[in-house]
Amino acid sequence: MNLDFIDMLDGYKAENDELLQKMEDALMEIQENGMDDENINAVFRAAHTIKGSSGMFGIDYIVDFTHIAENLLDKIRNHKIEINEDIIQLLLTCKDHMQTLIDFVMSDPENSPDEEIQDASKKLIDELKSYLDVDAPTPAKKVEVKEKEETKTVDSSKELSNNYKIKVVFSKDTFEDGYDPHTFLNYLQEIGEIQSVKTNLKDILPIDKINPTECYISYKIKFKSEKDLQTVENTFAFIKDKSNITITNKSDKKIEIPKEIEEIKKEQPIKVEVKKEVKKPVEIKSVSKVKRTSSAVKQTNYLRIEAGKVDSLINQIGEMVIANAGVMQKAKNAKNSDLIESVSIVTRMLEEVRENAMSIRMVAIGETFNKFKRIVHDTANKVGKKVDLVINGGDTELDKTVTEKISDPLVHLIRNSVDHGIETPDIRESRGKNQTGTLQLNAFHDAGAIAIEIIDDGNGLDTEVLLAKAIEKGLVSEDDNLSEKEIFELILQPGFSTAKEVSDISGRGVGMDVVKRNITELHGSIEIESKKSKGTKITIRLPLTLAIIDGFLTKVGNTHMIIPLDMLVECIELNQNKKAQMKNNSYINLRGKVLPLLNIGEYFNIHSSNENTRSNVIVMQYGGQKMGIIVDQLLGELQTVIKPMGKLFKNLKYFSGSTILGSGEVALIMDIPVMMSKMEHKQKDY
Amino acid sequence: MKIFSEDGMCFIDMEYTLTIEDVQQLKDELIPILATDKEFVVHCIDLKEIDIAGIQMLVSLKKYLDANDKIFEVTVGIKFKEIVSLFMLDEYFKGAIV
Repeated sequence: MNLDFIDMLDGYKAENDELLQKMEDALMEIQENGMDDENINAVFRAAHTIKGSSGMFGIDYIVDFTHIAENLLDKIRNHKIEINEDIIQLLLTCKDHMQTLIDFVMSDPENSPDEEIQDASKKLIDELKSYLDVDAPTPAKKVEVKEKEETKTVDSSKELSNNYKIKVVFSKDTFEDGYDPHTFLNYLQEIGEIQSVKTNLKDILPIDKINPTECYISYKIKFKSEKDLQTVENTFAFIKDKSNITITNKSDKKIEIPKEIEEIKKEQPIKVEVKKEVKKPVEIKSVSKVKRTSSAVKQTNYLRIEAGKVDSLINQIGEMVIANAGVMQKAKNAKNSDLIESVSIVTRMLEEVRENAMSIRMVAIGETFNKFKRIVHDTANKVGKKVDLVINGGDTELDKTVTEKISDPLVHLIRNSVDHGIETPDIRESRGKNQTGTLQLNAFHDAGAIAIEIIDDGNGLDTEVLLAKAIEKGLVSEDDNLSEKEIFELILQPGFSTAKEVSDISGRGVGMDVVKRNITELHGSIEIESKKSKGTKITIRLPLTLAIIDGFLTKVGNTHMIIPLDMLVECIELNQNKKAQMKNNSYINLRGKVLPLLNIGEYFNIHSSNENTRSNVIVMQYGGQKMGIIVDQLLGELQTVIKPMGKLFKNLKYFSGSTILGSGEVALIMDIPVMMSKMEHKQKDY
Repeated sequence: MKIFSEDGMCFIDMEYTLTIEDVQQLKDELIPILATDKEFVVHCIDLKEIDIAGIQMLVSLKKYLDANDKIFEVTVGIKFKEIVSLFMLDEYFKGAIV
């Protein structure tokens, strides 16, 4: 590759990863819903852009490979070849291979891929060509001959200083496609010496007739270089589909960049989605600017920012929140009402800034869900099952860090569902079910958390089998009286697997405990419901963010504690009347319903500073369950910057983090899901 | 981009860029005054960035003005000179450079 661009590789990879994902999504759509022009064009555009950007970076092996895949895609989109399951599978494999090639560039930009990768490229190219050759033998053969001719020329001129004559008539779309004729001259200057340039301006229309976003320029260049023909040709690799390029070498042998395969494209040029928009007159004079390409428009609508910068911004906002709380505290101490009012304004503004900054980190979970279509497809194919994946709530937003960390556990759960949950078509039929199983992925917001459900209509969990296995493995004893829910939770234990055969997909029992651990690390929870022969539902609940939350500050004794505001339903005073009703029990009657209570002071052995302090009950709701927490004082809402507890307290349950108050004191943030779970176990003990 | 039109003379200050991102706006702002103004001076001396779409726009404007017996002039800086020199268009703009 051209090492001048090495600093831009991160951007190259990020853009191409996105394109590859789009390619996969579109292919999966075609597989599910059949061929449609929009999706096949999306696949083609992705391949075309990857080829273009790889050409710009001088990554020839990606250009060569993608070019062949692009040829096949072109024929499909022009209905010259009918797409079928085999071709979709081949294109998916090609997409994977492009990812491998791009990953290789990142790991070793200076060298060519090793033999194994090259072999894989060759094998796939052969397979792609087999479709191209069968369908249109003439152009394919012609190209092959031409390529051979060119190779000969290159070989004979390798040692010579070559004099090239280059003629480029740029396509009108050149600017819109993101290219500037200037760039090519700059690059030619790097690899040789430009002897002369003859710029043809005759096609440029007068200002009243011109469309300024179209390119009317062509040029002829006399160029001297040690580089071979292929290298010179590659300079124009990513515009050769649309523009007319002729390169003549020293021996005056005219060589045209092969166009036979591109002919079809010429008949139906690639329509960039934003083209129509670009052609619209700019209405807002002072602000609007014409955008060059689809990617340019993207850059306008979406700004790609290094994640670390956003994290740093949020950390700084966090520190500002803490510092502001300190100023507020001092203003209150000084009883300076003007200052308190001013600080309140800053607090409100800071809250808005915080919300905006946090929204930068929020991404739709659907992006992650879409990746699972392929996993379901591949896994189902491998084990001979038919599975429909249904996605609901893909637009539910979640902190990007959480999204990234939850991806692997979800992959494992989905594979498990397909491998162990959903039955083979014959078994399903014998059970009176549809041959095709359904796997549902649902996401929705639930009390300050996001809930993700993985539901299958397969085998379901067999409590008897699970219990027997757990006893055999010594995880529980026969005397343990486990509830159905606890038996289901056994599958989350390390080393627990009931699969009769260990497959390469799942069944080694090394996954579910890791799933649980990952979710716990994210301060989330996992819940399993199942009915034998009906199916299984796994619900994961995760906090929306790991950085700053709206909290509710309380005090127990001299200890400050914070409750996530989203989980708080109401606060009620625990007056003498209610205390009398309780009769030392740990529940109260809340409007006709029993509300279990946890006395934080008693539980953590915190002595109340004043015995006469009136207690309060904070009613919490999480995962469809309610509980009350008894605290001494209610101090109100607080923007809470979550600080980790530190290594020393990493095993501390019940608290998900801490924060620093305006006074400089530390407040602990209660982990409500853990407390709920504790409460549940406590009730069971009775 | 700033455009001043007075007494039949139009002064176009491209400020820092004359690229694909500016050309549509330039055209839109010039079209209404093309018929009325006689002399057009494009100030390119401070340009920090210019591309071929920008050059093409200047050629396009020059073509129109030449055809309608109007005056096209351009002030040039380093960036302008570089690109014009690379594309060997010095001769084309020679009479217009002030």
